[in-house]
Amino acid sequence: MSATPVRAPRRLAPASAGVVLLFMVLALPPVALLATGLVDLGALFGDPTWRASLAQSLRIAFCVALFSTVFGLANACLLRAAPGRAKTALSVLVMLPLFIPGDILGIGLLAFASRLAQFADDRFNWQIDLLRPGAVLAMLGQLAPIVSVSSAILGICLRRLGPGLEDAAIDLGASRAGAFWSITLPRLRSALWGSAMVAALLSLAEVNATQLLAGSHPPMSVWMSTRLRESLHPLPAAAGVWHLLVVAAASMALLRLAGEASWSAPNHRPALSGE
Amino acid sequence: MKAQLGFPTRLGWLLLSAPALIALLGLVALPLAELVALSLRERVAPRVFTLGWVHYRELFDQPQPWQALWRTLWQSALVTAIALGLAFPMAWTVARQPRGGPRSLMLGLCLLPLGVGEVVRVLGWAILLREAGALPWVLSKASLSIPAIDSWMREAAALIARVYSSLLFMLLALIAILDTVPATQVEAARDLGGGSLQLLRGVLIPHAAPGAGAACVLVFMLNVSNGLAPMLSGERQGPWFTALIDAEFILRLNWEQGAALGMMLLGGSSLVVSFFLVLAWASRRAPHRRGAATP
Repeated sequence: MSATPVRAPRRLAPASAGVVLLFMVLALPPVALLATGLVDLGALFGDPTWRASLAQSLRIAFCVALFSTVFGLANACLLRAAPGRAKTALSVLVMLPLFIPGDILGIGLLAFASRLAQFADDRFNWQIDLLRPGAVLAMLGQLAPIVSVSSAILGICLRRLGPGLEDAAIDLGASRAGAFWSITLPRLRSALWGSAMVAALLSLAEVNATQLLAGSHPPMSVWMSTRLRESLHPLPAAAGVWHLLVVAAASMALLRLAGEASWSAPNHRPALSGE
Repeated sequence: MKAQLGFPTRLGWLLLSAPALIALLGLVALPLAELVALSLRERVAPRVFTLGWVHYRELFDQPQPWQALWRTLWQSALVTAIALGLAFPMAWTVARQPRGGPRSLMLGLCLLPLGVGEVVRVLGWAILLREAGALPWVLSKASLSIPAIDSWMREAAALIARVYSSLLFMLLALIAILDTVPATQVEAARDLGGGSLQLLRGVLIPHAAPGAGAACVLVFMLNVSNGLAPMLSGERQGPWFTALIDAEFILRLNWEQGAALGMMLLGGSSLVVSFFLVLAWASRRAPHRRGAATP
């Protein structure tokens, strides 16, 4: 990498009082949540509606993590293999869902799924429940923007890996698929786990499209947002604390993953120096 | 050597592009096309529809959607601008820190609230700012409770929550960008006697501009579709635009009208974004020209 980092060797750079104050303001909402909700964590786990919404959230998040990582990996490989012009156009297309309001993607998917269900009913007399609002539709609604994020993460990691080792394997007679499977994929492993975790976190937090698509068994984010409309209630604050703890644990795990990944070392060795 | 990584076979290309095609078609293109089709159909009898503009005409006749659209767009733009202004010095401070210690703390302060999502962030601000919240309580205990300030705070609560969320996204993007400013350029600017302002104008802004522009567009769109923060202030200032769409879809079950509203929002926000992109494209040349003119 040509650019050397800006950071001075070991000295703490000065920060103005205003910036320090702003960083302290950043901590205000989490601190307020912890102060209010920590005592109610026990009551939260006793609440059956919350437990049901948590289970629904986890189901959706697991599927979103799985599919977005698979789709993201395919997109990253596609972008790497595409020639110049096509690469630019494709990367714009892949990032497009991030720039469409989540609400609009939600109503679009709702209307489209309802048309498909209607069509199947009229033409073949099939009742396809999967196309009615529920976990599957909510998962699909979350998938569009989250696939874009996974594609970006995996694309960056793939670029940092470089083509060297895979090229060498192909030169030595490996097939393209074989080289990808036995060389690139294992070296991407921590990146894949990381992208799956980020996708699961995004899925847990998504609410705009989800509230339109989730139907009668809302996941946790929707459960919280409907209680937000009512006056202050201790259980949502406790759910917020639970969510904060999950994110904190996930961030630690992500940092460890990034630390042991071969692509994140500041000046990683040339790809052919052997591993 | 490099050409080997390409996928020259047709099957390879097809396999590689299938997931992208499926996702884009099934989750984005076809749903959007469905919205266009929905918004353009008129019901003439039960289960009989014709093509027509009636839902768009209805939009033009009412003032409320236009007021909501205007409020949604300009508030989102304002919040994006405030977040950019606040995030820049913060991100530069983080980017200059050595690894570990304070830098990790600052990153954590940004990443933790970012990871929990909008509902939890708004909930945090609700605890702080609502009538029964912590800050009004502190103010009343200190007998500083003035009705004018109370009502102002309620109006501002949604704006504060909005700026906060936007700031987190902007901060993360700007830290990533400013981390890559070459130290040599910063040192050269200092050695040539440049002050902080010159460093900002000559090195940091030209370096950060393209990435920061993309971040601004993203933050703007996130704001447009964020219907949660307005709940902090109630609907006194009029509804947020996404609330109108949700009402048509969920309460009134008038999907055609809701789809027309969705198209209106998509059109309005795309207009703002393209205006911004044109602006960014036009101003991108300026720093280069200045750089070339000074010896």
